[in-house]
Amino acid sequence: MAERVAVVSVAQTKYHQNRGDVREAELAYEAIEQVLQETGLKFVEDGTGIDATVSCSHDHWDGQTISDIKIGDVAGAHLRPEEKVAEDGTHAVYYAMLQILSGHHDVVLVVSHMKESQTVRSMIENAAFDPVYQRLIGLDFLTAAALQARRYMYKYGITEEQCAKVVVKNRKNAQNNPYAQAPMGLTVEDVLRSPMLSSPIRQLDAKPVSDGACAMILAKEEKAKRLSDKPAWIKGAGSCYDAFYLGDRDLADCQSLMLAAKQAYDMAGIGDPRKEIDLAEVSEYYSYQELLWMEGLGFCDRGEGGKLIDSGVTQMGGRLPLNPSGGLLSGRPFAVGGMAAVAEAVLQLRGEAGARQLPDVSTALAHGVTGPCGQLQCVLVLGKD
Amino acid sequence: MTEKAGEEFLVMPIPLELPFQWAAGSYHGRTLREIKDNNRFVGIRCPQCKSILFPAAMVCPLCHVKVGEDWVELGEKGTVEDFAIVEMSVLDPSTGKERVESQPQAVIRLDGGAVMEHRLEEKDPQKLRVGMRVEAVFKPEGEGGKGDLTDILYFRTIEK
Repeated sequence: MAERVAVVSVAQTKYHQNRGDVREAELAYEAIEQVLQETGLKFVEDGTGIDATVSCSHDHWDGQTISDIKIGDVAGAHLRPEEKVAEDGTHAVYYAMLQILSGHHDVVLVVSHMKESQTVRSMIENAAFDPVYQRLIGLDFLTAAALQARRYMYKYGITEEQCAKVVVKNRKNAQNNPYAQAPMGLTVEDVLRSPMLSSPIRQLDAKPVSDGACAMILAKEEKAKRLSDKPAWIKGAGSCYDAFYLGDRDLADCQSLMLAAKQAYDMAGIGDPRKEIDLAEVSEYYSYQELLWMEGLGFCDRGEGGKLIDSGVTQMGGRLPLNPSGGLLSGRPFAVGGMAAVAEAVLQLRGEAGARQLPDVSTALAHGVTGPCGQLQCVLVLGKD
Repeated sequence: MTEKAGEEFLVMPIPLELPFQWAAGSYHGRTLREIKDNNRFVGIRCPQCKSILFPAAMVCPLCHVKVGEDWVELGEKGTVEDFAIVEMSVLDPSTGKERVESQPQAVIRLDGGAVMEHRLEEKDPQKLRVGMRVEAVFKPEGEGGKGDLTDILYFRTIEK
């Protein structure tokens, strides 16, 4: 790659179940203001500041056609370039990286924002399915996830206890993350006793409703080195879509993630992710997904996700800690979820992760996903140098 | 086999309900509360370019700076800058049903320096013109102000 791109600043709001006190622009600005202050950058046209903005939000979730309209004023978009990526926040980071690699811009602000509390998740997610063919069945991402969880557990013998261990680990990790919405000391029994939502997924297997925002600044190499003494370099990036109809995939596998990961690893020159990745932040909307995504990312063999959580490798202090921030299960909104994963990877690389800081982090992976059953996957590999 | 010619096309009627609870936030919230409780328009002045943001907002879009607490009363009178007589029916966002727009839509520059969109009482095309003077008519007290723009009934022509 001729040019290199780094994340030079990250900020998040504290994630919260209902930020009824702010509108979307005010929420987004809580994060934006921090990255402006940290870098001292301004929205100017003379090449010394932020050149463009990429945002991430969803029209349907926000109930507003062109959902980025309302944050334009706080995101420096007045008579300036701003584009929205209506997928996961990792895709917004990916797009901003491409803007810089293309030579079009040098410094880009990326911001994702979401207030899930303002509407009804099931209605929004049901509308993601084909209105002519699927929608009347009543599918949403939760019921689709239940189908995937059952299929995955059936095919590979994954147990409810192994899924519950993900919840226990991540909610515990969140206790050291001041941005986490719902840190909690739980036992496997607590998870298994929580009310069933759509079998085999129980209430504690699912992420809570969440509001929040995340912002970061990406810059090309020469400017990144001037803007930060600890730039986090984007070493690899990959993105891949899977089939739309659930029946066209084997839901026990995640082929699109394997392909996205391969792209990212090839670009980053990673031959063995099990040895070369120091930590990973993955987007587990549901507990089983962390196990399945580990397989897709090549952290274990196919069907071995359950054994990997049993082994303790993915705990804090293990060889490959997963979701040191507490992940999505500890409360993070749709769209913001994967971008917060990038933020955590950056904080860990910079040695700024506070009480949850891991030792000797030189390569971190951030993963984002959107669509039912992990349809669209994005993998970013970040490194210290 | 594809559908036969002459057969009725299949369509899927799915009437979508969209329940939302949008937070007004501190700045829009104050603007709307002032309209509802005190029948007055307040904006906020940008500390840098001194332009007035109305409805009030946290950040000046031109200067990209956070505003302070320089709240400004804008008066209830203004001048019509633009108007349109809507002859077709439109969807009422509060019901999702069609309604006939009984009043012209207009852009009004308030005497205090800010601009807003609302509706005019005057429907007679012969009496509508850019530059006409108007004033806001608020929902009478006791008729259940909601804290939204329906708390302003319309702008009526100021008789010379």
